[in-house]
Amino acid sequence: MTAKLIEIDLSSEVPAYAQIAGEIRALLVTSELRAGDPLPTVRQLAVDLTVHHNTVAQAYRILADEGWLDLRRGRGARVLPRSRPAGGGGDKKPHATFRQQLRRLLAKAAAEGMSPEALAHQLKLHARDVRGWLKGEA
Amino acid sequence: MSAHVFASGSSGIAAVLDLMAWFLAAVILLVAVLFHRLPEITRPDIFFAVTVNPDFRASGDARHVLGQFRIALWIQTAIAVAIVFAGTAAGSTWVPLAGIFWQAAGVLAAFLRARSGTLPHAAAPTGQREAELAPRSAGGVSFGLLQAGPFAILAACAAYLKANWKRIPERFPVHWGADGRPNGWATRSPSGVYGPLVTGAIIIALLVVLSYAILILTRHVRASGAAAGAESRFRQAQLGVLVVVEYFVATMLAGVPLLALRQQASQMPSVAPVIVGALVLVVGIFAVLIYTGQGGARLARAEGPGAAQSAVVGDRTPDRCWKAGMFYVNPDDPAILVEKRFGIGYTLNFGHPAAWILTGALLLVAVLSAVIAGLSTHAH
Repeated sequence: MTAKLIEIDLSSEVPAYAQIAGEIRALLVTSELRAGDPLPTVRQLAVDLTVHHNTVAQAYRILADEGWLDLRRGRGARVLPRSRPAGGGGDKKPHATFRQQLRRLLAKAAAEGMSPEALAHQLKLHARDVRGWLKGEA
Repeated sequence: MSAHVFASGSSGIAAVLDLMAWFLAAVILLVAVLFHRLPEITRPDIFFAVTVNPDFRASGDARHVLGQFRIALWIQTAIAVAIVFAGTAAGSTWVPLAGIFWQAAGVLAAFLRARSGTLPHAAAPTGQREAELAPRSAGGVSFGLLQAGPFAILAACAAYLKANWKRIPERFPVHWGADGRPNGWATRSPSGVYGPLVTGAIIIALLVVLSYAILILTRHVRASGAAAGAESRFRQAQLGVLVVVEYFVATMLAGVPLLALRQQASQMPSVAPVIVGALVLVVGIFAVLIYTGQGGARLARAEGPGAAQSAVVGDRTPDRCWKAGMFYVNPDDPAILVEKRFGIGYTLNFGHPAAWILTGALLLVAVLSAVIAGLSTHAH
């Protein structure tokens, strides 16, 4: 079994808790972390990443609120079975937020000199990955 | 047991002092050899307690700093040895001991100078962090049983002494002077007989706490690649050393009251097994630590070029929080135990309240051990 790693950058403008939640979410979505898998304690992850306990606790809470984690006291954090929320519903907010974030990210990459072809290639690759995850989920 | 191991019976104080001088000189030389090697067994990206890029070690600047450190180390060592023999020749008991302090102060000054020389070459701090997303194991039942063993030795000894209570003399020696005659006695009382066992149990309990702290609380500095594997083996070696020390302490302190059951209890016991055991232990510990290097640095290096290196430089602690390169004070770091910057093993983060509680507990153990020894022993 390969080790599941997360990487963050404390000098990034993205808050550490959001990076931690994002990294764990990526492992959850790709099923590298499966239902029943235990996660490290808040203390352990905070020590390894040299961040405050509250930073890790906040990341875990975000994922618990999204339905990914069970944070019952004394049992540690554990991955919950979670089905993907049905798309195409009336709530358009997640789509709008995603579009806005993607737009910012693309603008940043373009500003840093990434060519439109390279950007398009990356988007195509990621779209293929996402289709793979969703197929696996089905 | 603290029998004066240098005793040679009637050969006189001068001979004892002479033997002591050679012993002190040997200790001073052993320390010098260790400090000579120490800069090589730190992590490749830590040099004189400063975070550097791993290729800095091969640079002319690094070689210059290291060379200056070693020259100072051996000059101070030579002076320390001279103090030991000059003091002995003058018939002093205390001057030779000053040699040890001279060397300690000299090495400290050389280290601080080398650190100052390295600081301008410090690597830029990095915010990159990686962690393995798996809970730590507390070692399981087998590790728990291994840790229970020394307590079982002490308990078995206590049970044996209780069963043979009447065979224990009313008064029995527990300390012997340089002339081989007993100068410290204990009486057949619960504190006199069981005192050493209680002391042993307290010391071992502290070592057990330290073992579990290393297992669960220490930071995994490298989470991926060969360096992570080497770090894991380094941690196991540290735990192995602690377990061996626990069994050694249990055996030694169980042995003290058992000596009272010997036929001729007032005669000085043979100290050869104790000396040989202690020497084997010390040499073995040094060998293991030098073999692994700090954080498994040497194990990782042995796996091939580049294996010890990682995209992440340093040990994840900021240079500015290392006071004099030795004391780590960082209230923003949640870790209680961190890897030492100079030396092998772990040290406390004195920016964490728990570190002060642990230090207090250590002092308490030292005081308790002294009190118990005082209660169970008397001079006449």
